[in-house]
Formats: sequence, structure tokens, C-alpha cells
Amino acid sequence: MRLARRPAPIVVAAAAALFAVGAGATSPRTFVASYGNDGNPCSRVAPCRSFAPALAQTADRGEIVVLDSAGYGGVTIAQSVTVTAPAGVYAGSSTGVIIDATGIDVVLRGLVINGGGFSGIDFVRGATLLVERCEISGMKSLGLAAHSADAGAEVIVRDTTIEGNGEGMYANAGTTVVFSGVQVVRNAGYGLLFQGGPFYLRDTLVAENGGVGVSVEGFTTANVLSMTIDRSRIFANHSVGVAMRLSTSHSLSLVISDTDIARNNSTLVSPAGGVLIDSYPFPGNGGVVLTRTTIDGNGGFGVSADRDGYPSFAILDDCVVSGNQDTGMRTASGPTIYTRNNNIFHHNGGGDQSGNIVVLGAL
Amino acid sequence: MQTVSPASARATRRPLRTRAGVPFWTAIGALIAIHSIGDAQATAQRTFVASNGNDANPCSVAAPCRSFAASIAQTNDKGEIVVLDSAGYGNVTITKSVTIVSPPGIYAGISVFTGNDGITVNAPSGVIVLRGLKINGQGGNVGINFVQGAELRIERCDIAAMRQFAINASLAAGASIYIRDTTISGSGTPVGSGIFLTGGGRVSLERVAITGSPSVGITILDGPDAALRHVAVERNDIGILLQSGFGSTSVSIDESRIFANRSDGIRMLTGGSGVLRAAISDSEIVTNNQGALAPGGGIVVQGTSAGTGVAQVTLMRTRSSYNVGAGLLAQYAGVAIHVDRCVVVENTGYGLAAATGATVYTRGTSTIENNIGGNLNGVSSYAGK
Repeated sequence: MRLARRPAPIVVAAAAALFAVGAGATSPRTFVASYGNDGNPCSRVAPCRSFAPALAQTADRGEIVVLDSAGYGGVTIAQSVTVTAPAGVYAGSSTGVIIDATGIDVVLRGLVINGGGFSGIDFVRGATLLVERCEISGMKSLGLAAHSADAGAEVIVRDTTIEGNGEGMYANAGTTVVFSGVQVVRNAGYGLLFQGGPFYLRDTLVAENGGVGVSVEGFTTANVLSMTIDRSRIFANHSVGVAMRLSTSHSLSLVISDTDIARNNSTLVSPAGGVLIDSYPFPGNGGVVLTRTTIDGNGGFGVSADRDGYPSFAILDDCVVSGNQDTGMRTASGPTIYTRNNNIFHHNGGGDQSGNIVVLGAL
Repeated sequence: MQTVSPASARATRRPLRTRAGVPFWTAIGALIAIHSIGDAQATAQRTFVASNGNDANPCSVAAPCRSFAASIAQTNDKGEIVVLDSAGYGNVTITKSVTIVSPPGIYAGISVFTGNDGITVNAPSGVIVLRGLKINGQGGNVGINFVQGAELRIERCDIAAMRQFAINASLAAGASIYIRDTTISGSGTPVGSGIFLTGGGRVSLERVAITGSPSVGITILDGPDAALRHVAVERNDIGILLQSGFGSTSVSIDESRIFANRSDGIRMLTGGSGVLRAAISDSEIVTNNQGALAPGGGIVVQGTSAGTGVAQVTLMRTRSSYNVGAGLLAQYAGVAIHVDRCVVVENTGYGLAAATGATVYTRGTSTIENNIGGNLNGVSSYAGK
């Protein structure tokens, strides 16, 4: 099969001759293959050997198609383009992909970016980035760096694994992130570090990262941050499972539903293991709503709303808070946690609840 | 030392792309470039196997090898083995970090004959990824045997007909196993388990089906913490066996289906110094204990008659119905189970039963009806918070 795809020399010559007529033009669709050659026109019959030369011959908003399994090198993308390795084809890169031009839309499908480079996908500038069926592992810095300088940039990640990198992913304050079917596991530092939003995480596993699993952090600028986590698992991260940290002028909203937040913070590096809402050093305005979520077996507190966070709050509705090493749910120094008396608390080491807990009536 | 084909040499020497304006990155890039050239003379970051390959080849894309075992010897630590087309590729023992990937649409088989294991992972601190492999027992013992390593990820694999275990892992503290989009069938014959996990470490299963094991579908014994989601456990003897003797085990089961197992759907046994903790949510535990084991049923949680076992279980939004025996049976002091918003109907024994010192709590939010042996036996109430 594979050998049969290799074109006879005479065909290559003919294709090259044809291409020579239109030299200088780009094609809407270019091709790379294990048997390609970067001196080729990157056509179907005379494919290139690596992504970078193929991109140079691809029209704006065109496509690069991977014909068979091989490594295709790193590439810096400065135009709108789709790179597709169809299911059934392995397309490797050890150095990764840099996306760096204002306003471009980039789609990456089926790439395996494994080790060697700095960041797996480095979204420096651009409007939208869609990552599907990719594997990003072993990168020295970030698996996915979403720090596009474009206002309102968007990153959509589906059916992708981000594993064993320095950090899993970072997204800056201006970038929207949508996750579905993503695994973020065993990165050395943060699993996901988000600075703005909104972020939508669904059917996602964030497990065993060395730092916080999912962290939403306001820093120096005034931000409105929001995140929803649905039908996901935040499991055995070494620090807090989900942390929301805010400071003065920040307004954060975090909604978590149908999610399992379990066995995080085993090393007790934070006072809270499952969910932490923390406002320091100045009060911000934040809220967490947890519904149908299990917060189980975390080191430290299960849920904690802490410090000068007033009027920060958390609402628990239809949740399980069990087996956490310290108090199941606690507040300190200002914030309130609301419940509707429909949560199960049991076997929390420091007691079930403490601090400013208020029961909400049904609405 | 193998010669390197022009294609693979070109691949490893391709200029690295670094982000302009950041000298530190450039320095890193230069280091990597030097490293890559050195590697090209010994092993490659990426090797290939194909049906028309030859194990005397350099395992490059142009000159692939024929077997995993030959290919792995020529693969870098943290490198990858790529399957180019459909064939059988033989047993392999892995002693370093490596990814073996067979893309969708390609069949990459390993037949495991008597006395052998399919894939043996024995790589201290190794990270091993196995993707898209079909492992079929022909009298062989274990499909994937995780002896040691930091992390094993199994994705899109199908493992069938192994004598002892389809997947066997003894996890050191800090080690992990992730299994996703994988099926296990007819393994653990006559004794063993489809998946057998023990030691310490962490376990994640997502979209995994374990069917037709004559012994146990999934066994988690003495130590591992596990998170299961979208798991189907059907037509085994025992569906899921969670057991704490000397080590504490903590398990979450979410959106899963435990169906038509011959013995208990989920059996939890606790005794000794270990604590057994389980949270089961949004799951179906239906028509289990077809063999009418007594005591038995959908979920059975047992301590010891001496009261030494500790089990803390939560059952949320889960249906335990049409089982032979109890919907949920808890036995012996030290066993505590909280039930909320569950449906427990049409079991042949009790719906919920607490026996000989165990405690089962409900708070009036569940539907527990039409159980033939009675709906509730010895059940306590608790208040939501």
C-alpha cells in the first residue's frame, strides 16, 4: 500500500514540469508525505516532506494534508490554514507549531507533538485556533500556550491529550477557551492556568498535574473572568483541584456541574484540596456555584472560601462532600457559603462545615 | 550501529524553529539540535514498523522494521514507534519511555501464546503510551503487564481472551495508569480479572468496556485510587471488585453501567488496616447476580464479622434495579453508606439492607419500590446539609 503510493519517477517529472508553468503561485491544497521532497510543488503526486515548505506553497485559508505516517517537523504559521492528518495517519512533530500573525484562523487536526521543543502549540497571535485529535507531550514549557495578542481570540480543543509537559496550558486574559474530550495529565506544574475567559471545560480529565489542576487567576489588570466545568474529572492533582484566585477589581464566576473533584492536594501544599476561592491581598468579587459535583478525599479542606474575599461566595447544591482530610466546607475572613440542605457530607476529617454557612431556600 | 536512511537523517537534522526575539529559546533550540544529530547515529526519535518491513532495517519510514521488539531497540528514550500498515507485530518488553501508536484504520496485532505476556512494561520512571493495539490471547497469560514505570496510558486498545489478566498493574506510589477508549473481553479464564490493579498509585478509566470475564471484570485491591467514568462492565462473574485489606483504596464511579454480571455487580470487601472509600454517581447497576449467589445483589459491601473493616460509600443518582438478591446490601460494623436520589426497584431481595452492624442512610429522596424481599431493612436516616 505504502509503496504503491510512491509515484513513478516519470510521473514526478511530469508533475514538476506542469508546476513549473505556474511557478510562484500557491495552491489551495498542498500535501506532505514520507516519500515527499521539499523541492517538490507539494502537490498530490509530488508531495513535500515537511510542513514548513508545504505552508509556503499553500494559499491563504488553504489546507495542508498529510498523506502517510511520518514526522513532518516544526512549523511557524503566519496565515490562515488547516493542517489535517486524517484518522489513520500519524503526523509527528517534535518541535511543535507556532501561530503568529494577527487575525488568522488555524486548524490543527491529528498531530502528534512529542518532546524536544519549548511549547507544543504556541499561539502568539491569531484570531482562532482549533485543535482536534492532537497529542501534545513532553514539551519543556507549555503544552499549549494561548497568549494571542489578538483581542477576543478563541481556542477550541477537542479530543486531545496534553501530557507530561512543563505546564499543561496557559491562556491569557483576552482568550476564550473551549475544551471537550481533553485529557490534561501529569504535567509538571499547572494543569490549566487561565487568566481571563470565558472558559468552557466539558468531558475533560485534569489529573495528576504537579501544581493546581485548574487555576483561574486574576493578576494585575481588572478582569472579568468566568469558567464553567461540566461532566469532568479533576483528579489527584498534587495541589488544589480547582482554584479561583482574585484580587482587587476582579469579578470572577465559576460554575461546576456533574464533576468529580477527588483526591487532589495529597501533599497538602494548599489549605484547600478540592475547590479554593481565595481573594488576596484585596477583596475581589467572585462566586462559585457547584451542582451535582462530588468533592471527595482531597487533602486539606474540601471547599474553602478564604481571606478578604467578601463579598465572594460559593453555593453548593446537590453535591457530595466526603472523606476530605480537613473540614468538608469552610469559610474564613469574610466569604459566605450557601447550601440548600440537599448535599451529602460525611467522613470529613475536620468536621463537615465551619464558618459562615447560610441555608438558601428553594426558589 | 545502523545506517540511517537519507529521509530520517533529513528529518532529524531539519532546522529547529524558534520564536524570534527570545534568545533563551534559541539557546535551547541549539542544544536540541546538537542532541538530535548525536541521536541519529544510534537510535531515532521515531521508528516505524510495517507488514513489508524487515527487522534488519533501520526502522526508518523508508525502511521500516517488521516487529515491535526490533523497533524499540532502535527508538530513543521518549521516542515513538509508529505502525504504518495492518499486520501482527509481536510481543514486546518495554524498558524505557516510549509511545507505540497505530493510527485509527490500521490493525496492529499481538497474538499472545501460552506462557507469554503481550506487552511487558518494566521501565523504572518510564512513561509509556500504547495506542491502537489489538492484543489477542492464544493461551497467553497477560495482555499488558505493567511491572514498573511512572505512567502507562492505554488508548484505543482491544484486549481479548487472556488467561489471567488483560491488564495487570502493580503500581508503586506515584505511578499511574490511564485507560481510555479500550475494550477488554473474555479475559481472566478461569481465574484472574479483566483488569487487575494493586499497589498504590492512581488509575483513570474512561470509555472502557469490560465484558465476558469468567472471573472479575475489574479488580482494585489494596491501594490504588481510581476514577472511573463511562465504563461498561457486563457479563463477567463479579463486575467490579474493590478490596481493602492492608492498603486504603478510594474509587469514584460515574456515568457507568454494571450490567448482567453473574455474581455481584459491585462487591466491596474491607478488613484489616485499610479504608475502602467509594462514590458512585449517575450509574446503572442492573440485572446482576444472575447466578443467585447468597448473599448477593447489585452492590454488596462487606466488612468483617470482627468489625475491623471500614468502608465509606456514597450512592448518588444511581439505579440499582432488577438484580437477583439485594439492590444494596451492607454487612458488618464499620460499613457506612449514604444514599441520595437513587432508584432501587424490582430487586428480588431487599432494596436497601443494612445487616449485622452496618449502616445505610437515606434521606427520603430516593425511589425504593417494588423490591420483592422488601424495600428497606435496617436503614437509618440522615439530614442533608
